[in-house]
Amino acid sequence: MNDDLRLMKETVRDFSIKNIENTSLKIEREGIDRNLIKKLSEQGFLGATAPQKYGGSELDILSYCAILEELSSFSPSVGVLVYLYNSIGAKAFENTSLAEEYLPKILSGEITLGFGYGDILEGFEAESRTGDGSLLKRDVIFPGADKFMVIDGQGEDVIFASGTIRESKNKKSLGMRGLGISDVKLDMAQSRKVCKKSELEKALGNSSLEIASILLGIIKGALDKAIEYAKVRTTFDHYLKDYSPIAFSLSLLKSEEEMLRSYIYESDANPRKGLNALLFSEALSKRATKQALQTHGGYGYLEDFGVEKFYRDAMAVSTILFRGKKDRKRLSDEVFGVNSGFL
Amino acid sequence: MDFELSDELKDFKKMVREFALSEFTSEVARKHDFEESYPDDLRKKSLEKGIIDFASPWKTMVAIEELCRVDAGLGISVTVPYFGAEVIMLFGNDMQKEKYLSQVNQGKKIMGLAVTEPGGGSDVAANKTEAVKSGDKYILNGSKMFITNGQIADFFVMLARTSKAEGEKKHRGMSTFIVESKFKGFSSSKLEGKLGVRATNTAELILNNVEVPSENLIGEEGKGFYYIMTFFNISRVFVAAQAIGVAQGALDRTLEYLKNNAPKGEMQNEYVQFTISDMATRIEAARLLMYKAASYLFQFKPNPTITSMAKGYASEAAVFASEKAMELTGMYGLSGDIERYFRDAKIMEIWEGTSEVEKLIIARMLEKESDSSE
Repeated sequence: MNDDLRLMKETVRDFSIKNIENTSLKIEREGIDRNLIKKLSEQGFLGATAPQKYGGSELDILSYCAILEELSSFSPSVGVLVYLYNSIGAKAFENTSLAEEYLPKILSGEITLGFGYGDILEGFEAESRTGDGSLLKRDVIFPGADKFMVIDGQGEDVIFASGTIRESKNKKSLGMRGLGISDVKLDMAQSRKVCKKSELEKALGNSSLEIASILLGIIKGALDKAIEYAKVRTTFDHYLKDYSPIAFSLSLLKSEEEMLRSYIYESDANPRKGLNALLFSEALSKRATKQALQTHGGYGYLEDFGVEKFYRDAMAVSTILFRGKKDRKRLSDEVFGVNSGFL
Repeated sequence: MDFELSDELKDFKKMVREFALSEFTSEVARKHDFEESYPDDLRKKSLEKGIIDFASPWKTMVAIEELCRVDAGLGISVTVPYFGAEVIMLFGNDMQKEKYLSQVNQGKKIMGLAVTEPGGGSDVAANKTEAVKSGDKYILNGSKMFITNGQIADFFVMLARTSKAEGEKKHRGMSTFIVESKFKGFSSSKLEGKLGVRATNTAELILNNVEVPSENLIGEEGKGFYYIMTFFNISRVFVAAQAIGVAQGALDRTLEYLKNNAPKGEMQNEYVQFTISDMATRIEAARLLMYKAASYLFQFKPNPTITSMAKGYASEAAVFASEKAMELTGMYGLSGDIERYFRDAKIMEIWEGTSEVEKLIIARMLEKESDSSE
């Protein structure tokens, strides 16, 4: 990792300690507030990769990954928010006529943006029509936002529209609670077309390394907590760290985390780097967060200790950003050089 | 060797499943999960229906599995009002059984087991709550953590230290008492924000000079640790049943999705087929281990090795199956009921002795058994 990247990571870390660490439980319970979105914007994180003319920072991909990793290690919800703004939102808007009008407002935090793209995840029907011509979109991420970027009723275009949360589902989302996931009723009369659905799909497919960076942050956040806990918690008269199964498993997971980090930040890019990192981090994040929770015992099961959120979020990111069989098949096709993994 | 349940148990199992399917609807399960509220109405209904029959431990085990298969939070909630009853049944006197247990069996009272302490976890012998004899009563001081039914129980079977811990023999000098929640100096505060099994009530208990009559001492003074370990040897079979219920329910719902809601051809995909086969195999293996542990236990020949294997393996199977269910059902699972199985499953690897503790027990028993076979 070069010095610039190190400096970037330190900057994001300092920001996170100051603005996220002490409120991470509040973020889980009450959601990300506008004040934090403003601060993320002021730091240039909200539009990390977007063009400067729209208020973005035009950072390189690895600096962007560093931002995602560090933010996610404190609050995966915040990491995912920054990812959605950059890799999905700004990417979709960038080359459209709407960019000039809306992107500066979105990237400055003046207009907040929610996302409904479940349709491009395998086999998920994410919308239904309502009698009054509005569109009911299921499982929209960040449903409390001002505006939404969703796939339209025909399933062909991505539209930009206003909307309101439909009556509460009486259910907390599994993960990304800082953003929330809920059904949203969209006002189609005022909606504007942003781009083709296929372009959004491409943006998601091209952001494998970024998703892996979020997962790396989740892995780091969970393991660091478990390692610290194992140093201070005693059971049967010994520190947890002195029990070989705990010490060995946490340290091996930490090595895997470090190898993943080196791989993500190496500059000599393998053309399959994003996919490799994504599939590796997806599996590792589940193992690491499970072990981190287990190390905490009963306390790990309570939200106050801040470790169960990583367990939930690893699964939520895996479900919403990682596309299961689709991404596994993409890797197979790359490795075999031909269509594979499909009869 | 017969791997089938008796016809009576099969009928009972069917009755419990029908009860769970009609009462534990998505709406009800989501409500109690969201609100973290205890379903007292379901407790009463399940009692009226004869879902819980303490005269038959086999029925209890089957009921726990079938109820948790539909929803673990609700299933545990309706079967846990009797938690700790075996301690009184096995070691209590007639007065205690009559005064306390009969009320629980009639559904008039709820009980709980108060063993775990803050910072203590599975290390029961490290408990610090003290019980000091004073005339015809004991004065209890200390605190208990993660206590199921902590806020709703009328009384608890509680472990407390009646003499100082001495070096390596820390587990000596502990005794069990029946402590009523209305005793002066007793207080509880609900623990909120649990990852799963959120319909169950969990609390921290504080004991501030609580006066407990001597007649509430269970069995002999100083034998509490052994009583509790005996209890765990029983209850771990029931935790295995909870875990198998969760695992089986996750598989049920995955199959239902694959058949009715998944994109066409999903069920024919070999990756999917391998995954569900693996889930089903682990569930079946865990169930056989549980039956074996139960068979020993219910014939009064408990086998702690098999019991720990059953509890440890079943809870890992629950975590595995619920994780795979999420993987196979994706957004459908995330926005529906399957994600609850994923959150509920993890506690199985923690409570009633963590997976690590089960492994230590197995290893120690293996060492002991190999000594005696020489």
